[in-house]
Amino acid sequence: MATIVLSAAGMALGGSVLGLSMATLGRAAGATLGRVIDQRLLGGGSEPVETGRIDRFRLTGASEGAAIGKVYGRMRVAGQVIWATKFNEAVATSGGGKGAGPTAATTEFSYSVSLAIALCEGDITHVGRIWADGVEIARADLNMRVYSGSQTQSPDPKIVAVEGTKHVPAYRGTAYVVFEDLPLAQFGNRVPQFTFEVMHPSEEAASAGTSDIARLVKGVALIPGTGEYSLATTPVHLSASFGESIAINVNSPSGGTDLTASLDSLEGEMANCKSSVLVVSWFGDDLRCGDCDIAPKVEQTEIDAEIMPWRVCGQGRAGASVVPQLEDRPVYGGTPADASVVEAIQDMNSRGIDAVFYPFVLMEQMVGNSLPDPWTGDTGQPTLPWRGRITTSLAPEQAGSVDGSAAAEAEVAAFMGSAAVSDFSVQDGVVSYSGPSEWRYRRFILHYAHLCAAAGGVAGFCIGSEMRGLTQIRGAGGSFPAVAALKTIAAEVRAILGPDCKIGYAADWSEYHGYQPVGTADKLFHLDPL
Amino acid sequence: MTSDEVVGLARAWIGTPYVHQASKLGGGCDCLGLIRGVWREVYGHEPESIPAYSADWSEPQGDEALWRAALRHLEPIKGAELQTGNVVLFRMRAGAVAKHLGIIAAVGKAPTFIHAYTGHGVVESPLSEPWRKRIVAQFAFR
Repeated sequence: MATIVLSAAGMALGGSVLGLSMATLGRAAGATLGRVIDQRLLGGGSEPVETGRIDRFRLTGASEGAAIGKVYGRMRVAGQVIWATKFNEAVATSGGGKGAGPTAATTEFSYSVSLAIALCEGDITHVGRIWADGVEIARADLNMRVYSGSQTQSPDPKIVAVEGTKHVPAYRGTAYVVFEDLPLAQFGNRVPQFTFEVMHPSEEAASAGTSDIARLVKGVALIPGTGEYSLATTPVHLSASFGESIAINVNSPSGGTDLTASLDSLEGEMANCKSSVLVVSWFGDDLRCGDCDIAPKVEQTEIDAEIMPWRVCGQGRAGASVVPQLEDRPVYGGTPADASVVEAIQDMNSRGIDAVFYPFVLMEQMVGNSLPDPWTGDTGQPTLPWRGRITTSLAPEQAGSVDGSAAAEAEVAAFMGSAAVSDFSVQDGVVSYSGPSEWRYRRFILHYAHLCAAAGGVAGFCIGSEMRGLTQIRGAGGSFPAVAALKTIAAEVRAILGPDCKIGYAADWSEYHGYQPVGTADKLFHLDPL
Repeated sequence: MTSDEVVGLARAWIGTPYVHQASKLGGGCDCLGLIRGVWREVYGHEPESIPAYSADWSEPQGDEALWRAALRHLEPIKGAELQTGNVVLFRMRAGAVAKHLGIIAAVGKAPTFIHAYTGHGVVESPLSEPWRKRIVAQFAFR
């Protein structure tokens, strides 16, 4: 403690007498004095406090005899410059000349350099973000090549072209990057301090099951499934007022849209991940299935993107409903535009990542709503409930519930709606709808089945997920009308997407094993037909 | 024309300086000029008159003109397996037009390709992994 207190006191003293540089000296003097007192007070063997000391400098080096680092996991490394060309000076002259006005000829000099920076021992899987002088820079702006440090890598063509074929090693076993003709103007005409985010999962172990998680992961889920343009590979800008333009889906300096950046790092970091669930959300507004509309919604209706106007299932932005607001901000992102879903599927397909389409129903009841709660009979449904709570007008446990009657079947039929496969048409990758003007479940699912087919197909398609309350509704004679309706949808989706697409229903853990009605000893395997 | 003969013709160009839009053995050529030169030696005439093009990696129109021209005169080869004597088309930057060409000179453990390298002239370069990833198409002389 004395060290800190006295160094602060010394700084105040020095600073007041001889200015800033003396403050440092005063601080050092105070700290030395304090350290002596510390050792007296705390006794021999106790460590005095040291402040401000750096354990190592993360600077790019260029020294001979330095050790090659070994990196595991994800590390930010600076590396060693192992090769560089001389600065290349480019001269461009403009202006002047015969007959020209009194403008002087302007000669512009620009400089570039090529260099190779060794990062660490190989075999790395990926170089993620790159910083120059501490600022993250876009990878696409650099002509950079990454050598993973494998035992088979070939020498770099640029180094060979400069040094000659016989004089260049391949640096096998060393991960390195080569910058070719790096323009230096943006860095103040000098080589900046580069640091690199390097990923290197631990090597494949001989015994199974002990591999690094980065090598084990086979599939991921792409969430949140909302955001009007979050799935687009095209950068989308909104112009709120004249001359103003806001990038909606470009939020990282690494280049490309958020989806492109995410899939790039997924490929780089998890080479064995060959499948991704693609979640797309529509919005439900009532827990009573007969009254529940399921519709695509937008975050705002005023401004549309010129390059990709928001359009989902034939609905344009102008007439679309808006997601509920809380404190002037939308509580959810909007439904992804159809065009952006198509781009995401096509991008995944071209990368060899199997897309599994997963339609998601988000409920949008807010605080203070006056809808009757089917689970209690009270006024006011819970805030932003789970789609698994969608049930009959009164839940099966409630007195006076329609569960087990033809009325329950009618409510389920109303929930599903009457959209037919023939109501959809596909032209140039755009799915149009000409069926009854309603926002119901069948329209939701059949629309996306057509859209997935138009985008070039998906590896898997879920016709629903976690609709626990709905699948347990019973009609007359103990039938399960929602399960039957889902069966019909599954057959229709099969016809749209073809025989190679895996089609399923994503059951919740509380429904997949069967249904045990409250107060009975029955066990009904209601999902088996599906 | 066997693939070895094509590689031999291309190797004869090594050392030719890099000159944008040129195609003259020993005088100067760019990457397309090298392919045109080899083509002339194989067939005895120019494949077609070449429109003006810029020296950088992309064309402002974003049109895959070089790819379409290659399809007009060369046999596209499907599959990732590279063959000596084949012309390969590189996309030097994601999102840009594919605009660099080379001829595969060796395959196997130490693959190489011959191309006109900006600032260096025609060279035989090792086909390292980062370069291989930039290949978007492969063509054979008919």
